[in-house]
Amino acid sequence: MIFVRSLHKWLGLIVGLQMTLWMLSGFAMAAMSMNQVKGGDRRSDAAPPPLARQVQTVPAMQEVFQGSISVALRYGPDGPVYEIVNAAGATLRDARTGQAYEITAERALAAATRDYSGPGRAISAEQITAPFIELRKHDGPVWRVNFDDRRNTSLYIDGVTGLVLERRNDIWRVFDIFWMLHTMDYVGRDNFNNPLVIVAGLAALWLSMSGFILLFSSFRGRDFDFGSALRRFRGATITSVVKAPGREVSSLALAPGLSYFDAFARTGVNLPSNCGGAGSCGQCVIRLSPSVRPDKDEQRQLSAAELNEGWRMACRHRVRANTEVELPAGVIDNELLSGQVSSVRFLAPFTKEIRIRLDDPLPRPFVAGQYIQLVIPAGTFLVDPASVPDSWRGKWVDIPSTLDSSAAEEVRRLYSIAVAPNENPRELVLNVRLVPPAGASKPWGRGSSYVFSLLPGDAVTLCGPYGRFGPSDSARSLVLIGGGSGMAPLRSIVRHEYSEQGLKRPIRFFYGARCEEDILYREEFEQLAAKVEALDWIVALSDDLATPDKWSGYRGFVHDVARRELTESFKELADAEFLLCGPPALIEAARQMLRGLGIADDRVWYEDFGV
Amino acid sequence: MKPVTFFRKAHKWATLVIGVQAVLWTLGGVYMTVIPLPVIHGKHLMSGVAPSEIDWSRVDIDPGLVVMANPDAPLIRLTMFDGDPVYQVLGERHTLISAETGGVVSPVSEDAIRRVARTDFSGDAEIVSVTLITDNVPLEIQNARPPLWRVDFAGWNEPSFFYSAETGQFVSRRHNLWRGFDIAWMFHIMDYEDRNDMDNWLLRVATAVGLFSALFGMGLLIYRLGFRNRAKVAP
Ligand SMILES: Cc1cc2nc3c(=O)[nH]c(=O)nc-3n(C[C@H](O)[C@H](O)[C@H](O)COP(=O)(O)OP(=O)(O)OC[C@H]3O[C@@H](n4cnc5c(N)ncnc54)[C@H](O)[C@@H]3O)c2cc1C
Ligand code: FES
Repeated sequence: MIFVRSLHKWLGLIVGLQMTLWMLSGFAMAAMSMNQVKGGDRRSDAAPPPLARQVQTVPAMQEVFQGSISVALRYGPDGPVYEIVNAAGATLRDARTGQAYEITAERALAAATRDYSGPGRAISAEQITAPFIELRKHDGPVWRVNFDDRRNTSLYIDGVTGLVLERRNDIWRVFDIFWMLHTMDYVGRDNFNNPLVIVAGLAALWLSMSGFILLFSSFRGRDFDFGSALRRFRGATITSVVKAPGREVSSLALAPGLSYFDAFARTGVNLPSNCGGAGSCGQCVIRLSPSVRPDKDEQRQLSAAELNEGWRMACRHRVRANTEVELPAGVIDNELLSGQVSSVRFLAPFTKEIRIRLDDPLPRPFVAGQYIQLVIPAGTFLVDPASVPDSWRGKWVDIPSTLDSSAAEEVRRLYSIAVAPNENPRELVLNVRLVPPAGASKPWGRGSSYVFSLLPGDAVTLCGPYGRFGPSDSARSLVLIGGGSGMAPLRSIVRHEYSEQGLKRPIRFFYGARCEEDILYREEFEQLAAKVEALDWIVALSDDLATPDKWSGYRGFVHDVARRELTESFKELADAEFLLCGPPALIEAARQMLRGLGIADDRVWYEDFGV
Repeated sequence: MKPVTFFRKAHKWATLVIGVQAVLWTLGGVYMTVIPLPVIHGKHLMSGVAPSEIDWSRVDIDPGLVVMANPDAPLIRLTMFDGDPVYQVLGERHTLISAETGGVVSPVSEDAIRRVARTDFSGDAEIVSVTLITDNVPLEIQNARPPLWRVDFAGWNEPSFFYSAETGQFVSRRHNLWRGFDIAWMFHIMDYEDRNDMDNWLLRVATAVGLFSALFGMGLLIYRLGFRNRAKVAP
């Protein structure tokens, strides 16, 4: 589809203008009356005078008739004529006298006047030689007889036979310009077999076919919900009962036909989202009813347990009738919070740790594993790689000296909190990886390059906390599998677990990185693992070439390493819960691996970063 | 609504209405432009044998006499038909009169039409059938005046020649490439009944919607390209 879309766009660039001209000229020609264009409405239908019987006989005309293919007897401009056709063409003779019959100006005027029934008078006759634009299919001498009507009618009279060849007028003249635009024959106007129009036509064919194909993917069922659109237009609303933890049950007036995601947004309730309602982030959950059928996106993004409880993605369901909706904690009064960047430092070549000091403490404490939603303002910002530590500079060589990111609109991105809840109520720590462009002409990640442009002292705006990622209290032990910046919520969970408030359960933390440099918080975890016996810290490096021989740890993908390790200690897993966090590929592979081990889906939690 | 969103939606909806027709327009357009018009007109089907000269030694009836017998005919024409000199009398009624005897020849016989068609047709494809059309004139020759002789030739192109059964005059020729053109033209002017009426409201409305769709598309394109420039990563 992406291919078809870009094909359509590029073809549009190439033949869009001609396509528009075709439509324009087509419309103009259709709008005109063909009868007027051809002058048919000012054509007299009076029958010519009857033919005279006293005409020259065949023997009398013998010499003239000799060698002819046909001889016609008809009424000429001012009397009966013989039209004699032979291999050389046609000639006229006066049928009564047998004399040559010249088409003079008077006769041309007479022929034109007899043919014309409009309000004007024939005012002049001029002799010219065809072909020319107004009379392009004819060859030879002709009379142009001009009438003084408002259309500037001109009748063309054949200079030899005296017959009316064409009836032209200003309507035709305008029509003919459109015809020329349509045939793309800017010289003769009639040759629509010219290479230009053929090439343009082929391109236009692809344009229209790709457009037609795109129609199927451009419309959603909801586009055709005209009833709801009409109700929205009239300002009608649907009142829904809204529940939220720690709040009184209230009711909200939602716009009919919109997705819950959009409808809530209209009432000022912004559900957390990374995808803006596209159905790919799985963060916009609300609780409807278990009887609401989940779609494919929801089956992928939400766990079986959540689906059974009636949790659904708000962007996948439309407001249709009065319903009861439950919102996750904190969504309703998610006023924006302000803060200041207190420090930034590189954790890995492309990952930064950002500390944010909030102006006020969080309205409600966060739970280990949750995230905040960062407002990425509109405008332009520059990432200056000058601050990259010297030892990692080598990794940045292929990257432009400044990354300039600009957008017309504010967006929001989600970032997990990388510290435990009770460490400091006014400080948040984020780990953010700079997301590279997905293709040659694609920009660098909008949100992550904004974060990379931040300097200590910069003001930031965010809201939250949100999120459902975290172990339940009933779990006896935890298995954490993470990669890259997927470290953040897992670090929060680990730090919380072994803090004063934590349950201090055994944790096996499998962390995947490409090479040694990419291991986040390496020292911290090595020290913690040495101190806390319950913590098992296992690192797997996936990039064999970049990993020195002296590396004594695991090599390969983290889910493969985890599979091997977990298979050996299978019995201990009975009461364990599994927490997966990182890019989609890692989540997918780890989920498969766990399914392979026979772990039930309802003991697996995952946070898919989507990039 | 932002302009780009407006253009996207407007383009999308206009195209929903006109999409199928736009494909038919361009498809038909390509057909009509790719095949040379003289081929469509079937020039290549004609043998090009020059019409025979009038054999004056056999013309015994004077034009004046024919006029006397048919006072209301505005046009009479003396030519050769199937080897004989004849008068075509083209008045209210069309008749063919022998220039030798003055006797009425029309309607012309199937045998004569076979011979004439044989000479007119280029190549030696077999004549598959000769049929007389008296009413229910086929759509492909709808403007012709019946009765007509239809001569069908063999070949992938299925050429047909039409002659007036009253005067034996050649009327027109049709073949499969022409028939394809006629269908393309029908889709082009959206006259699904007669295939030749360009003054129909369906076409007017459809071209107007098509025009808006194209304009919205252009608007969308301009916005998209403009935006892309600004979002580029600095070198
Ligand atoms: C719950 C949750 C928690 C998260 N926590 C963290 C965290 O702790 N740390 C962290 O670093 N990240 C985290 N993320 C990811 C983060 O929210 C952003 O998605 C990430 O930073 C990328 O956003 P961006 O604006 O930089 O990139 P975007 O501008 O959104 O682009 C992302 C990638 O997709 C490509 N792309 C964008 N649009 C298109 C398109 N139309 N067609 C093709 N390709 C396209 C871009 O080029 C880029 O490669 C989390 C995500 C979720 C859902
Ligand atoms: S908003 Fe992202 S899935 Fe609904």
